[in-house]
Parts: sequence; structure tokens; C-alpha cells
Amino acid sequence: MKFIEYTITSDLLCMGERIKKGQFRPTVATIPYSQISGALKAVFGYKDIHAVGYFPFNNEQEFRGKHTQILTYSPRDRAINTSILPLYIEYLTDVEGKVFIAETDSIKNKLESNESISIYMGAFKSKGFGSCALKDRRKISEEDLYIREGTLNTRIPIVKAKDMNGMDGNSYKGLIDEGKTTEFLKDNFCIEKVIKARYGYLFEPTSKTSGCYILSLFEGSVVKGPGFLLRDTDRGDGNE
Amino acid sequence: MSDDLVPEMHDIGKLVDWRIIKKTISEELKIDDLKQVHSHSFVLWNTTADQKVDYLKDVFGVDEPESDTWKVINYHHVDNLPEKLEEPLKKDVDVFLIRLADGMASAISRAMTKQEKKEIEELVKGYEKRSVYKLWHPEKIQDLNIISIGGFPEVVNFIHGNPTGDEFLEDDKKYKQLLLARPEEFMRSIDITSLYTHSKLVGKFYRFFEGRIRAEAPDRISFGGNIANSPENAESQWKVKLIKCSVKLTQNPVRGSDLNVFEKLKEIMCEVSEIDNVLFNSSTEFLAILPLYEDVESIIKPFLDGGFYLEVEEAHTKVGNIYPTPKSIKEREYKDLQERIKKINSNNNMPLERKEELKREKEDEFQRKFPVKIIYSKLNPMIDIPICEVCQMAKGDKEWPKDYVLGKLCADCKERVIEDEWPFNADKLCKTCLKHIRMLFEEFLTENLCENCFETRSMGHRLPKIMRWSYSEDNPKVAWVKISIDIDKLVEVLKILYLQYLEDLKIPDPEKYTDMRLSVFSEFQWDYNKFLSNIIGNGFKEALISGLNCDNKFIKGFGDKDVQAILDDFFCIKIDKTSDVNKILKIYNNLFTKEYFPKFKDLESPIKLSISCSNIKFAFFWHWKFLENPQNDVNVNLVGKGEMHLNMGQLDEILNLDMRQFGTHSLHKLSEVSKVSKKLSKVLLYDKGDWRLYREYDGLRSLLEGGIDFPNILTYAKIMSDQERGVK
Repeated sequence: MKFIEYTITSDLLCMGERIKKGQFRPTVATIPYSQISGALKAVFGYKDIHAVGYFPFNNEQEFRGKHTQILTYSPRDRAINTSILPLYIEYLTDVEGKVFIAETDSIKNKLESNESISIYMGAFKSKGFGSCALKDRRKISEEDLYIREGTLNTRIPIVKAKDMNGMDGNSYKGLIDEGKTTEFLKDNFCIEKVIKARYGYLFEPTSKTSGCYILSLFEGSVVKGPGFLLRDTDRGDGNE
Repeated sequence: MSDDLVPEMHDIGKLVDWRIIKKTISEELKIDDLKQVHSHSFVLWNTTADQKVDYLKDVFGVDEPESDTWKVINYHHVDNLPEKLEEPLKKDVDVFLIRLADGMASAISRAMTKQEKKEIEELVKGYEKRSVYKLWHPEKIQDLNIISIGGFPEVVNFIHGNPTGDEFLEDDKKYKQLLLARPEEFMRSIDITSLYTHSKLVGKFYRFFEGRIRAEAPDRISFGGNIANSPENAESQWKVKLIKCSVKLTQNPVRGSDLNVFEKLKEIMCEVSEIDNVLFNSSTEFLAILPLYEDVESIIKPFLDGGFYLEVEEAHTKVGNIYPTPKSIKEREYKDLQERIKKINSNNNMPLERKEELKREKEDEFQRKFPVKIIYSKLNPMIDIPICEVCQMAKGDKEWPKDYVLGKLCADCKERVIEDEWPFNADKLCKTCLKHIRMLFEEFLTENLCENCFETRSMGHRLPKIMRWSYSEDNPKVAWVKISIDIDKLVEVLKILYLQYLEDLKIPDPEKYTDMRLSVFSEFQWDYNKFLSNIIGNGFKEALISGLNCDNKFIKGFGDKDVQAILDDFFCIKIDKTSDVNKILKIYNNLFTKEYFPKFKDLESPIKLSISCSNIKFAFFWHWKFLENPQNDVNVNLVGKGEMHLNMGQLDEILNLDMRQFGTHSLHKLSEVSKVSKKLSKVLLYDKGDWRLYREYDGLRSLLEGGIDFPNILTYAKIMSDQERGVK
């Protein structure tokens, strides 16, 4: 499997984790599969696109301190001409990260050019958030994957919704609980085994109006996979 | 094995001053060759006649107890026993287990041989007998009133009465205070744990093995399929796993009632900490011991059922290699692995390929002994919308507040509104129902929650003060205060302090003896819990009920009505102004450095303080993210204004700053300028344009020159900018 690496930059980015009581929308500090793959599909059409990314930092709190801001926004109900509830939106400013796109047949030709790609990602696009530029294209060949153990830097689903049709999804989770990997993780991201799984759910649209949440590996999971998806992990034996 | 055996009492003889007792017996019974079967046994032997001396009735007028507890009290050290006694005791299962537990609960490892112990004893014998040497607070010396002639008959009668372990350890009017003050060993250098801690741990270890062993033959005891014929043999043959579990919330609490999740956590942790397997715990972490064949879920199930998930570190090792944390065991055994790999490398007769293969095998085998996992309760591979808005880990089947309200309505009202959308039409409800749910009518938004989060929210107002502040129109300022402990750091720090202690005693090769055992940890837990209860333990009401003085510094400092305890180490204080944070820091600093842990001040402290301030309505999970990940010894977050991260030394410096030097507006000005530009505010500190202001900033500049970062100083200036200014 080959990958294409881009540098992603954005002035304002809100990749909302969820909405609490309709009032709070924190942002994540990585670039999940669902966000970047969705944004690329919006540009290139509904193709077989698998991408992930992250913002490089050593200390998340420091990164958040430097790059996150809170916007208080009050949507106006035009019918009654009042703003009812303020929303607290956490967003990232002036961020630069890395995006890795699996070089599948359906996307290969579209990514031949060295020109930068403009995408819109995350929430509040209509309010001016989410404009991103992908530039500095670089190919990662199979020899450059440097498969090793480390801590995952991003969020990836363990399987796609369509692959679960008619099958017991627990068998996929079972594989991971045994320290193995799933076909999806292996084929698209060269993850050979999952040593410690930190789970969460990522949204996957199943039609234009509907979708479901898929069990996913979140940042902090320990896997054996390509070096570019990982940050160093403490082995706990006093050895760096 | 006996049901009535109380392992905690095995060392009760250490509470007695045997020098005087023996002298009295010798004089009364006129026996010169009187020998104790071991240093704290109640059995005295006439070496000339080679028989036991029955002195209890004749000298003290008390009957000799006959229980199994009495047996282990007298014979749990089998070295140098009179021959007549030795053989049957060597095959006694109770004595076997007590001896094993005794070794595991000792203060330091068995690295010290008998010869070395003797040499060190010679070296330090000039020191007087004193109470426990607390590594973190050596100056704290407790009264030590060892039991003499007057109290001796009472001790024997106490044993005769077959008390429980709790009656022995926890009764303040009996032996608790003496047990706490008396070191497990008087010898300087190993006098770092109390007899209380040692006895408690022996009880835990004894019961851990008691239910799991099988006596194959009188001197062949099996545990987990491995047979041992002596406690020393069991230390190398029997295998266990030490686990460190960190409990994590799946929820991201926003509302006051979602904080009930902490109430749940507190209840479960309290229940789990009582289990004999659990050796150390804080409010969110615990250390436990399990047999290799037992799954970790047997102990963490209550947490999983409560909707939490856990990060679990395991170390599979021999009983004799149990050190305080899986990490410390891993580090020790990694050194052994390196030795083995070195041996493989130096074998010139082995082909290179075979060497590599062997090395890989050894590495894999090593890693398998130290699994690290995250354990969740049942997770579905796919969840249909809607997902729970609080935890995002399950389907949001329940609608809040609609389903909650339906559960509270009478049958008639329920039938009338069950098909309606929320909010219900109040006209459709009877007066009684309306009265019950009036407050919920203010909530016009619906949230989808999973069963677990719904249940947590439905628990009601478990933290009443926070609920009151949340509903108050003033939207008051609050400070969320969390004290946490880094268990792995604690091991490192205690090791350093122990090394310092041995160096002070001029022990040769002190590094050889610094592998301390779990009992030092448990000793620390006793002081740590006391420290926490001094901060936020019993409230005024509880103090009144128990008849004790309320010694909670925060409640005293801020008033009972403004402090809400959440966990033993987590609470919320309603503050009038951000400069009240300074008061919190002062109280903490005083307790920490003067009363409890002065020795941690000069090292990176394993105990961390985090304070996060905002108004009460600000989403709690943002605070929790900060509180859960302390970066330094003291961490303060003023939401939207900045953070401050200091070590304990720097905290002292900042608190020693004379606030009277600041005029009416100097700190406020600095804070306002920083809103425009942080760099400009730094320039302001050095700007001599306004000479008066320049002089007022003297103290802040000296902090900066002393090594505290400007962002920390700026945050401190912001904290203090709303204080009532003193007159210069």
C-alpha cells in the first residue's frame, strides 16, 4: 500500500466532537478518518477514499492553549425574531498538520498533480470555518512505511458499515481484543496488530440523509503500523 | 487453616516491652535460663529443663489463650525454635501462610542478607528507639508508649477474647495509636513502616492465599498449580499478577446532575478498596494482586457495570518479586532480560540466526508478562443514530427530560401525554404531578441519553450545593479543585528519599537496599488519606455527629455553605473573586509543606494540585480535561484568561510575594494590556516610563529572574488583579 502525504493548513477549523445539550461543541485535536475522508469525497466525488491526519504536537494541552479559541454564537430564530441560546464553539486557529491518503485506484489519478487542493472540513462551513489547503504533496512508498509499534495519532474506524451488512460486527471487535487487526485496518492503513485499543465512535454516512456510528480506534491506542500514523510510546520498562 | 485466625494480630507481641516482662518473670519464677522462642513471642522456654515456662497464670494471673491466632503469634518465626516444637510447626499451613504474608508485607526487599542486617544493626545501634521514620516527613515523631508490666495482662486477655482484625487495628481506645507509632522494625534504616500498616497488609495477603491454596501433603502447598514446601520456596514458585487500574469516565459531564457519575465512582471505589486483593487506592486508581489464572474483570466488574472504562497495567511475576507497581516490576525484570540477552550474545558457539531467534523469543515472552489494556463494558460495533449525547458510547434510546418526567407522572397524566412531544402541555397534568416536575419545565431542549447516563442523571441532586449554584441567577464563580497522585512517580520519589535516609545513616552501598515493597506505599496511603481528610474530609455536620473537631482547612477557610465535596480528593468552592484562588493555594501549601510532605517540596512531587476557575455554568468537561492531566505540581486554569503551572518551590516564591507592594491598578493594568498583547505586557514590567509602576513590579520581575516563566506570572497577576488592594 502506498500513501500520499499532504501538509494541511487552516485558519479556522472546528471539528466538533459532539453537541452537548445543544450548547457546547468542543473540537478534537486530531484529524479523524471521517472528517478528512468526507471532505475529500466532497471534492472528488463518492470514491473509494481513505484518509487520516493529525496535528503534530508533543503536548496536547500546550497545543490547545496555543491554537484553540472559544466563540460564543447565538443562532437567531427568524420566526420569532430572537436569539434563544448561546452556543459555545471551540475551534482551532492557524493550524498546520499532516494528511495521509491511501493511494487507491479510484483516487490515484486525481492526486497526480502537485498543485494544492482546497477542501472544506468540519462544522460551521457556512459561517466561514473549515477552509483548508492541502499542499506539499509527497509520495510514501511501501519501503517508507517503517512499520513499528507506537501510539496512534488519529482516529480510524475498525470496519466500514457496508462490510458489516449481514455479519456479526462483534467478530471484528473480537479480532482486535485478541490483539489482531481487521481487514479494513490492514488493507487501507497497513495496521498489522492492535496492542491496546482506545475506542470511540465515528460517524459514517450511509445515505444522503442518514448514517450510523462505527466503533473506531481513537488516538492513544497502541498499534503496530506505519510510523507516520504513530507517536512514540513509553514501553514502561525504563527504556526509551 | 482456621476460620478464627486473625492474621493482623501475628505481631501483637511487638507492642510489649519484653525486656522488663522477661526480667519480672525471671525474678518471680527464679529461672535464669529463660529464652523467648522468638523476639516477640509470648512463649518462654527454660533452656536448662528444655521445656515451656507456664508463667501467665503464676505471674500475671491470666489464662493462656488457645486459639490459632495465639499459635501464629508465638510461632511465626521458626528459626532457632526448640527442637521439640520445630517439626510440627514446619508443616503447619497457618504458620506457612503467615510467614509468607509476613515476608511480602515487610518494608524492604530481601536483598538484605542476615549478615548484612547484622552489620547494619551494628552500625546504627547507637540510635534510640523511636517512632516510624516517615520518608516524606522525618521530623514528625509520635509518642511511643510500649506496653509494660501494667498493660501486659490486658494484652493477653485481649487475645483470649478472640477479637476481629478490625477490633485490633481500628479501635482508637485499644492499640491503634501504638500500632501507628511503632515501626515494624526498630532498626534504623528499616524503620520506615508502622506495625499498623504491616499488620493490615499481612491480613490482606494471608486471606488472599488462604482461599486459593490446596494442601497436597502436610508440607506441599499448591497455589495456581505450583507446589511449594516452604514460604521461601513459595516466593520463587508461586506466581501472581499485580495490576494497576485507572478508572476513566466515558461521560463528558456538562450539567450538575451529570456529576452524579462521581458519586457512583466514589461508592464503587469505596466498595472495591475493601477487597483484600486491593493494596492501595486513590479516588480514581488502585493497585491489586490476583492469581495468574484469575481474570482482571473479576475485580473491575463493578466499574464496568457502572459505565466506566479502565486502563489496566499488569505484571505477571513471582510472589517474591512483588514491588509496588507493574512499572517498577517491569523495570527490574528488564534488567534481568538484558543480562540474558547479553549471555546469548556472548555465546560464540551459537549461530547468528539462532541468536536472533532466541533474543526475539525472550523479548516476546517478556512483553507478554506485562500486558497493558483498556477494558470497556460491552461495546456495539455499530450504533444507529441517535448516539448518547453525554458519553457517545451507546445508543441514545432515552429522551431527557421526557422519559424522566413520564416516570414521575401518575398513571392518568402519563396516559394523557405519552404520545406528546416535550415540553408537555401543563394543562394536561394534575396539580400534584405538576408540582413534582415544575423545575424540569424550564428545560425545553431534548437530549438523547443511553440507559447508563440516563440513570446517572436520574439519581437526582446528589451534589446539592452545586445544583443550587447552577440554578442561581448570579451565575457565581467557582473553583474546581482536584488533588491527584501519580503512583509511578511516587515509587521514584520514595526511592530517592530512602536512598537519602540510608546515606544519612552512612550505610555502605545504599543503592543495594532501595527496592522497597508495598508496605511503604500503604504507609504513605495512611498519611495521604489523612492529608485529604484535613483538606476536605468530614464536614461540619459529620464532625458534630462524630464528636471530633472539624479540621478541614478549606471548610474553615471558605465556610461550609461554599464548599461542595465531590470525591475524597475533588471538590468545588464558590468564590467571590479570582484572587480567592490565592487563599486556596496558601491553605494547600501550608498543609503540604509544613504538616505532611515537606520532603516532597524539593523533588518533583507525586501529589499534584489542579484548580480550574470559571462561572458555574461553564461546561464541566472542559474543566475535567484540565484537572485530569496535571502538568506540574500546582496547576491553575482561569478559563479564557490563562494557565499557571508551578512546582512547589515556585509556589512558595509566588506566595511569599508581598501583595502590599501593588497599588490600586498595577496588576489590573498588566492583565488588561496582556489582552492586547502578551509581549507588550512583558515589556510593561520593564518600562521605566512610569517610575511608580516600575517599582510596584519589582516583585514580579524578581520572580521572572528567579526562573518562573512570564505566562505563569501573568496568570498569577490575573488571579490577583481583582483583590482588594492594600494601601502601600
